[in-house]
Amino acid sequence: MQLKAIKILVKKEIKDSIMNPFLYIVCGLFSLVMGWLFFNYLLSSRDLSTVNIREQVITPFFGNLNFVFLFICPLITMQSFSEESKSGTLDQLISSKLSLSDIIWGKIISSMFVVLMLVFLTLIHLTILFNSGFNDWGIVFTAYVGIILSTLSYVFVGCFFSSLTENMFVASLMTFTFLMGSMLLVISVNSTQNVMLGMMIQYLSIPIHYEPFAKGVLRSYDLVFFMSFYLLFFLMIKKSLEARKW
Amino acid sequence: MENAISLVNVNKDYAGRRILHQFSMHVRKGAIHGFLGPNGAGKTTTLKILNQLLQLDSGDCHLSGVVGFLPEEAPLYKDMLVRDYLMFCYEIKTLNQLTKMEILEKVEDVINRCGLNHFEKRLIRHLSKGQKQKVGIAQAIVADADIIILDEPMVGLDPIALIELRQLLKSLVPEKTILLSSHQLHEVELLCDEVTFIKDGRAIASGTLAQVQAQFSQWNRRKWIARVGDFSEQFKQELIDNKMISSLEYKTIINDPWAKFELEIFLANTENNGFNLSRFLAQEKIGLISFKEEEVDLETMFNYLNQTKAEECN
Repeated sequence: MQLKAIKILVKKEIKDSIMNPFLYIVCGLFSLVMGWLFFNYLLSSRDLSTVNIREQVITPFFGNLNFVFLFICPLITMQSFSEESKSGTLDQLISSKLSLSDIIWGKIISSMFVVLMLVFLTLIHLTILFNSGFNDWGIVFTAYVGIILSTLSYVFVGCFFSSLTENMFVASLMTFTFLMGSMLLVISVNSTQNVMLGMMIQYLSIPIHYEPFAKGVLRSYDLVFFMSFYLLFFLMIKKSLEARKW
Repeated sequence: MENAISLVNVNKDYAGRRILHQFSMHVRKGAIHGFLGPNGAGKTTTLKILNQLLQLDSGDCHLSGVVGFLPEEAPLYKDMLVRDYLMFCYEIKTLNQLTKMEILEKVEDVINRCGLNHFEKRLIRHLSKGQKQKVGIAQAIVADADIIILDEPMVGLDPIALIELRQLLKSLVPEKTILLSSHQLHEVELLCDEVTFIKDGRAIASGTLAQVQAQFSQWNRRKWIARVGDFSEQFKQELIDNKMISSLEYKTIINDPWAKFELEIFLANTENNGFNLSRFLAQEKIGLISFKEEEVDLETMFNYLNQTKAEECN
């Protein structure tokens, strides 16, 4: 893995994203949805005490932020590999001096850049809270760490499915189905009597590992899950790209 | 003479089917080498192996230099400016620690060489097909490639763009070696010093055009053109039954006061020098007007190869 190689690819990808009007449409819609949710949570909270804001605004707001990214991440990652594969530029990247790891990290980092741009837009809501006297910044910090870890896993899944097909809409649909399935795993836990099986299913669900972060809890258990998840999907993307040479 | 590309006894299976069978090919350094064969013969697979986009199952592949590749569909980022795209290609293909100005200098040199000056600051999506092909060739040579591999670069180009492309390719040799896969046989004849025919994954003829023509004659493919006063299916069948010809096509002609039919004949064997055939055609019922042997062109060879099994040629 070479940092210079990744930098070249990331620079090009970010430039492409910034030039794409689609990004600004997504940003606008995202701000609208998140602003509306924030306004409603503020309105429904009984008073503006720190405890109330923490439980009735911050936790549900970040819970919903994660849910919204479940729809947005497939759109961000859908063309990462599929479009390149369709236009033949993926072969150009593979036959260049970039290693497969460089290409994968380049795609992941540039997709995360767009995600972070959207996350950055939510800071405006926290500025409002800051001006209202809210001072529990610990939960805000863990919630942001959680959202970054969670969306990074979505980006890995999106890039993996994008590497499987030349059709970006199919890639997007597969990513969304996988992520939604991961969320619905939580429901299936309740339908089983087997405690062991229930715990195993629960462990595989991404939102289960995100939830504690949104509540201000930082556990090594969840960090290990996310790191293992990234490693697994990184290897799967790499295998998928290597399979092109068979 | 030193070879730029050497493939020896290469085998490649894909989706349970053998695409290349003991395929061997040598390309001389500094030559423009035509790579010909019908669709599905294994040309693109070979080119992908040379560009390390596919792994070979067995055999040897040797390349003496950096490879630049232009696939059938030029790999272009349509929302980039031509100059930015070439700079990006240079960067990913070399990973040099050069400054932006130094890279720009290298890219400008390629832009001048490929005649891209008047559209270097335009978006790639706004270029014509011919201009895109030129950008495709520029990306193939931008990183000082010694060997340029082009897969069907002439498809869809108008005559002006074809001439410009031909001139560009000719200007690149002998400094670089070009392997050109194409179905535009006329262009291959105009451009290439040597050719390789591939059929069913096997190389069935290779060498200079003269060498391949000589090899073609050994496959009993001597072509004769005869003009006669009368001809019919009955005469054709008689020639086939007597094993004098391997194939015969005839057509009516209207601008000749004496001859009514023109025959295109391939003899059945090399021993038959046309004497027996001329005697047959000279009979009163047919009335031979003219009879001459023609040099076999690439198109004729290609058509023959297309209709014949690879094993029969070897």
